[in-house]
Amino acid sequence: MNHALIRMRTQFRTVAAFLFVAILQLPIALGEGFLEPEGSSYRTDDGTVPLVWGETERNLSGDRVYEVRRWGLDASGLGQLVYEGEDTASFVSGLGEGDYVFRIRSKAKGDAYPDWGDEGLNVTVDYIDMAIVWPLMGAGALSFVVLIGTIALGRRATEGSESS
Amino acid sequence: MVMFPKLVVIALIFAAIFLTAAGVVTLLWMVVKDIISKDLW
Amino acid sequence: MNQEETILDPNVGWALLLAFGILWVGLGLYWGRKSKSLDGFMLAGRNVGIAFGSATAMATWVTSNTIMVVPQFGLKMGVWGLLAFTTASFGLFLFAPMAARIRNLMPRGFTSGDFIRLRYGKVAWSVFLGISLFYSMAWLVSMAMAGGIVLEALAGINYKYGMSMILLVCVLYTLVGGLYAVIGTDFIQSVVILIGIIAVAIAALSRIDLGNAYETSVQTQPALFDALLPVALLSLFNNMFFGFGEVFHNNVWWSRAFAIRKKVVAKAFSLAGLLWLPIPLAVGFSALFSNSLGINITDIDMTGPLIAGELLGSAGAVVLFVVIFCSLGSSIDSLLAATSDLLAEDVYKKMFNPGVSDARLRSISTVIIVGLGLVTWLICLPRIGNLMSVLFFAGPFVGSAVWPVVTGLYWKRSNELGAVLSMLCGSAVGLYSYFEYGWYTASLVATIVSMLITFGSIALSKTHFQWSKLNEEKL
Repeated sequence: MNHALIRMRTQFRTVAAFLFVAILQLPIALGEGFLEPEGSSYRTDDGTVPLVWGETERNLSGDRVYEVRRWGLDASGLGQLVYEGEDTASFVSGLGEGDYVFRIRSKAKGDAYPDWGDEGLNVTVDYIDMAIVWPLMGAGALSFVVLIGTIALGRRATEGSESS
Repeated sequence: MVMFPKLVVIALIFAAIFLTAAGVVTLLWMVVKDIISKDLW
Repeated sequence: MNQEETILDPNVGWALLLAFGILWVGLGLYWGRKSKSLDGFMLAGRNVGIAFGSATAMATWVTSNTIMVVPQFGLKMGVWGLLAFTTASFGLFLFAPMAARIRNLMPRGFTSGDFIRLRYGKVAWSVFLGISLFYSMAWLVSMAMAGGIVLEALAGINYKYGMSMILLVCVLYTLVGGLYAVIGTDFIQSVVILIGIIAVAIAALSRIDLGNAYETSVQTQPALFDALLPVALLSLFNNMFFGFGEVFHNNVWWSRAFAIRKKVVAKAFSLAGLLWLPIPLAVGFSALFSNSLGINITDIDMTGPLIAGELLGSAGAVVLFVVIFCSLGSSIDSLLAATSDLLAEDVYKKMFNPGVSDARLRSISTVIIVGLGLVTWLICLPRIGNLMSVLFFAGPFVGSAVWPVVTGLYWKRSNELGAVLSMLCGSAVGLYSYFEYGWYTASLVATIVSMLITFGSIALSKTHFQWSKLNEEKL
């Protein structure tokens, strides 16, 4: 009975230790993908992507380094470096129209990076159609001119009474 | 993509800093003038 | 750069906060000696000179949003984004002749609400007050919140303590000094803001090789230098009309029109516009090059402080801290004073107690200032929202008020039905546009809709307004 208890206790410790290590590993495993934007694809009309890959803005233990790169959809090779360091978020801006893939990988400090996985965030940058922009700009410019005209003409018309 | 030329961007930045500096000088000069002529308030 | 490591030592942050807090309250007490009468307390004696007048208009318009949101515009929308922000100064330029007109038509006026009530009647007045109070509260809350967030990020001062401290200082000196204290401190704050901006810009320039940074950024972030970036082009007019709406309708600016000496009021607003014009570019240009400088922006709301901290270290952070504290103070004090005037004059006096004496109204004003501070504090406690969305949600409301104000000042045929419909429909369509197409269309659409309705109602109107009706005291 005593032996059985001891064996159970030992087994429990092993399982608990396994679970503890597994839980510790979880954020690292999660860190290989992006938490934000959610999903595998993202669409933007202004060329910006708010990337987040950790719950806090830095990995609390500070022992991991992340590398984020982007590729054009048809391009291979090394891609373009977006960020490398300990932060767990990066606001990407200034992207031209087109399709991109963002990938992330991480390593413990001093180790080598693993190979890039196939998974990534597909980003489509599709600017607002100029067919919407020009009419709105035109209307804006027109009402700006009308506003200046209203104030300027109004001022001229009331100038005499204004001197009093 | 039609880009803003480098010179235009640099000129805009320097013009902005210069104008801001001119603004402080103007403000200080005006307050001295207002104090002398007792026109502050 | 990691945000959890603050750029500035919290003790330094607290020392700066206390030093400037004591200075503003002390100056408030000093200038407060002049503000015994209602005119003195609410409108600084109606005789403010050009130096203080232009400085107060400029400093009030340099808000924490200017310092915090401008770098975001640069980072998101590049050169056009910064240029779009400069158009906010056009509001001051165009308000200059309007301010002179206001002084002539309403020599003893107190608030923008007074104008709408006398010009259009009570229905338009109610709609206008609703818009104005909503906007003022949104502005006040967004600034107090921004203050708390930025003090925490820069110096590790707990959000609640930082936000409470800023509000407390502003409430205290507005309370003891009225508009005299607001305008006097605004002058000092505007000088500090301008010198701080120049210092940070020059220090940043010494670290950035603009030619190389441009070449790199054009490769990695081409859209920032795109002369035809659609979202930025749209934001150009949107921002401009948002600025018009804010300046034309809000009592912050009307109270200055009433407070500045009649002879120099137009000049003061024009000069304020000129002083303000270059600020967005001077503040935000570094954001264009953050990528080529290897600065990682982890949180878009913190673009400015992150860049300043990375480029300039703790010295830059001290300057930025002071500039932000001054820009917060110069706007919060003005909003407290002008909004309490609106509540005291338009709501308390005109709606509930028309026979109230000036002395009683002055003490009511002080109670309202404390109340406003308290309400703002309570709303800010939970720390909600993103700076940009809080700011631009109010856009359609204020954009819709542009035309009723402008035509009301110059055109006799402008009428109440047109004013009410243009404010309501402009706000509604602008809000729809905000949610359907994005914030960068909301103010623009609201202003255009409001313009069409105003013009339509004027074309059909038989109204022939007598300007003398605006001079309430004569009536």
